[in-house]
Amino acid sequence: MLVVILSLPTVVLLFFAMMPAIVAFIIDRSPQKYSVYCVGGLNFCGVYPFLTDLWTGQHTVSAAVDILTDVFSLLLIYSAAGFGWMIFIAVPPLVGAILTVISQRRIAQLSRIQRTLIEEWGEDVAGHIEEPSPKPQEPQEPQETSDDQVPA
Amino acid sequence: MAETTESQANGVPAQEAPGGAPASAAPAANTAFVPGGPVLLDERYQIEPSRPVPDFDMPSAPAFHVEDRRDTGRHLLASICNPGLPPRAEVMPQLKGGHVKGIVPLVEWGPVDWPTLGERCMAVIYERPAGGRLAPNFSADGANFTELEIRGLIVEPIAATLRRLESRDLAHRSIRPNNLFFMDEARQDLVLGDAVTCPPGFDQPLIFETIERGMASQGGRGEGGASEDLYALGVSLVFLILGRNPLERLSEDALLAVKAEQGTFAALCSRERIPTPFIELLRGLTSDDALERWDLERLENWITGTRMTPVQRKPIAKSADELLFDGREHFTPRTLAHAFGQNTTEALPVVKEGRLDHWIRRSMGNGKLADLVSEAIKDIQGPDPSAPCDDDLLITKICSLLDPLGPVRYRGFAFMPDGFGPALALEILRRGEAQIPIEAVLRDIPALWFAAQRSLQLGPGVVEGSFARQRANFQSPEIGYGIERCLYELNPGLPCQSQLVIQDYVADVEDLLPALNDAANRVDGKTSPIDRHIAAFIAARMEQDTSAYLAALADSDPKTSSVGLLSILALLQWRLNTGPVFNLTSWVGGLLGPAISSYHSRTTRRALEREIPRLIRQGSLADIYDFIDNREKRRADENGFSDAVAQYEATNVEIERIESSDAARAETAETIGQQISAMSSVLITLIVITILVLVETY
Repeated sequence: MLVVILSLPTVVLLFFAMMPAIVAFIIDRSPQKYSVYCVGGLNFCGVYPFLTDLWTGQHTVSAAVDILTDVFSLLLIYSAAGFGWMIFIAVPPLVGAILTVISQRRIAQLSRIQRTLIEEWGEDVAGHIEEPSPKPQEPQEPQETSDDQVPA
Repeated sequence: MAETTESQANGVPAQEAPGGAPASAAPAANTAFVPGGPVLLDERYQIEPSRPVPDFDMPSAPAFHVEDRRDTGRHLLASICNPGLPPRAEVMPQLKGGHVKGIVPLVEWGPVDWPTLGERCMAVIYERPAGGRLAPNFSADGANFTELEIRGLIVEPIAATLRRLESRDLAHRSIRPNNLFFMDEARQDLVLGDAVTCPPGFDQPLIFETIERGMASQGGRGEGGASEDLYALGVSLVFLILGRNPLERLSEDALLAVKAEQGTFAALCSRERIPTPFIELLRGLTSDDALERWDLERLENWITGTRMTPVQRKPIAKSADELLFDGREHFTPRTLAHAFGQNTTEALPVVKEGRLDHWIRRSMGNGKLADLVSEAIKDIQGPDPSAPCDDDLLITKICSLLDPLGPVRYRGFAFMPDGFGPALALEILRRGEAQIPIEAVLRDIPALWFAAQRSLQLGPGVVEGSFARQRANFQSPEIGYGIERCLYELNPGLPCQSQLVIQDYVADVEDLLPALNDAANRVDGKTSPIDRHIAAFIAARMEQDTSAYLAALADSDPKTSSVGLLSILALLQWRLNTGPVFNLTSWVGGLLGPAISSYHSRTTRRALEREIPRLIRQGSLADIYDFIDNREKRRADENGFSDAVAQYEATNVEIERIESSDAARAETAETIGQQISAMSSVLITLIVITILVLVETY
C-alpha cells in the first residue's frame, strides 16, 4: 500500500505494461510457471526503458499514462512480451526435435554395432539358442596329454 | 588241392569245407591258378604264387613256396587264407616263432596282394615240415605203425603239445590225420599242422567234431578246448590204427545219427578189430559225455602206463519205437532236436499235435522230459493249443530241452555259444545279412541254452556276459555299434568289411589309416572316410574307450559329427604313431567345413581356413585336430560369443528403450524446452537491462 502511495506512477505503469506477464501467471497452471519467467522477463525488458524515463523524468501518474497511451511504447512493451511467448512456444518443440534426432542417431549407432556383431559372430548372436558344445568330451585327450608328443 | 581231391575220393564229406566258404574266396580248390610274380611279406618273405605246394594245402588255405630273403637256406611255405573266412588272429601271436613246441612253427603272417584272387589275403608263413604229412589221405597204413610207434610217435608228442596249448588257454581244433606233419626227414618229430587259417573247427570233417559241435553250423562250432582236441585225437587214432575211415560211406546226417544213437566209440569201432591196449584209450577219448571224456591227465597216465578205472559204459537213452520226422527215423532226442532245428516248419505239427509228447512219454519212457516239454509248450502257447504263438521260440526251447548240450538252434541257424562270432561272420559274408543271428541275440535265445545246460563247460559267465554286450550293441542304431560292432568284437581276425578299404584287407587297426590314405585317391571327396564298418572296426580293435568319439561322430549336428570324425582319425594317427597321411588329410580337410563353422567368430574361421591347407600339406591329422579343436581357441570363441550375445542383448534393450520412450521424450522435451525458454528469457532480460543501465550511466 505504501509503495502504491509513494510510487503510484510506477505501479500504474508496471500494472498495465506487465499485463502479459500477469496473464501468463494466471493461465499457467504448472507449479514451475516457466511461462511467467519467459513472458515476464522479456515483458520487463520492454518496460524498463520507459520505467527509467519515468524515474528520471516526471514521476507522475500523467507521465505514466502518457507512456501507456503512446502506441509506440505499448507496441514495444507488448512486442517484447510477445517475443517471450514466442520463445516459450517455440523452444520446447525444438528441443523435442533435437532429442528425437539424438535418439535416432543412437539407434542407428546401436544398429551398426549389432550388424558388426552379426557379421563377426553370426546370426546366432541375435537369436542365441543354447546348443550343446560341438566338441566331444574325450577327443581333447590327444592334445591335452601330449602337447609335446603329437607331431608338430 | 591235393588234399581235397584225395579226401573226397576217400569219402569224407566234411572235406567240402572250401566249397562252403564264400564264392569269392575259394583259393584252395576252385580258383584256376594263374601264375603271377612273387609277393613280398614284410620286405622279407617272398611268396611265389607260381610254385604251389599241394602237399601242404589246407582245405581253406592253399600252400605256396616261400623264399626268405635274409636266410635263403630256410624252408618255408605260406598258407594263403580264404579272404571270406576270419582267421584266428588272436591265436597267431601265441604260436609265432615256435613258442608252442609240437605245432608247425608259425614264422610270420600278414596281408598280401594275392594275384590269383586280385585282392589282399592273409598269408601265414610256416616252416616247412621236412617229413611231410603223417597221413595224406586221412588215414595211414596201419601196418606202418606198431602199437609202440603209435604210442611214442603220435600220442605222446600230441599229448605234450595239447598240454602246452592248455597252459596257454588255447585249443588247436584242427587235429586230424592229414593235419599231422613230421618236421624231420626221418619222420620222428611229429607236429600238429595249421590251426589259424580258418575259424576253429571249420576245416574239420564232421567225424572229428564232437556230436554237439558237429550239429552246429560250420562256422559256429566254437573255440572249444582240450576236450574237443582230445576227441579229435581219439577219432584220428582210430583212422590211423585201422588205416581207413570206418564210416566213410555215411552222409553227414547219417554220421551224426549213428554217433548219437550208438555213441562215437561204438560207431567207429564196434565192427573193427582194435588192438586191446588202445580200446580203453579210444573209448575214453571218444566219449560223447564231455565230463566222462578223458582229460589230459588221464591221457598222460595212459602213456605212462598208470592203471586207471575204466570208463563205465553208459547206455544211450533210446526210444523203443521210432519217431518218423523229415524222412528219417529218430530214436534219440538228440537227433530229433537236430532235425527239428533244421526244419522248424515241419517240427511244429509234431510238437503241437502231441506226437512228440507221446513219443517221449511212451517210447522213451521219460516222463520228466515229457513234462518239461509240455510245460514249455504251455508257457509259450498258452492253454489254447490252437492259439497262434511264437513258433520259432517254441521249437528253439523244445530243441534245448531235447538236446541241452547241443548247439543253440534258432530258425535253422545253429551255433555253439563260443562260436557265435565266426558263425555271424559267415552269415554276413555269405548272405550279406544276418537277420537270424541278430534276432537270436536280441530275443536272448542263448539264455535258453544256458538255462537248459545240465553241465556247463564254457565258462557261462563270460560267454553270457558277451551276449549281453552284443545285445546292447545290436540294439544301438548309432554308428560304431550295431551288427558291425559285434562282427569285429567277436572276430578279432576279420578284416574290415568297409567298401572303402575291403580290397586292402585291413585286419589290424594299424593298417587302417594307410588304407584310407590309399582310398582317398579312389573315392569321391564328399564321402565320409568313416562309415559304419570302419567306426565299428576302430571301436572294436582300439584298446582305448572310444565311446565319446563315437557319440560325437554320431551326433546329428554336422558340426559336432565332423569334429568327431576328425578326432577319431587323429586319435588313431596319434595313438598308433602312423606317419603322415597326405591324401587322407586332404580328404578329411575337405570335410571340415562344418567343424570350422562350429566356431562363432568369423575372424577365427577365416584364420582356420587360411591355415588348414598348410597343415594338410604336413599330413598330420593330429595337428589339424589340435588346430581345429584347440581348447584355448574354443574357449576364447565361446567367451567372445557370450560377450557378443550379451552386447547384442544390451543394444537391443537400449534400442527398445529408446523406441518405446516417445511419449516420455516428448514430455521431457516440453519440460526442458520450457526451462530453456525461461532461462533464456531471464538471461536476455538481465543482459538488456544491464546494457540499458550502462548506456544511461555513461
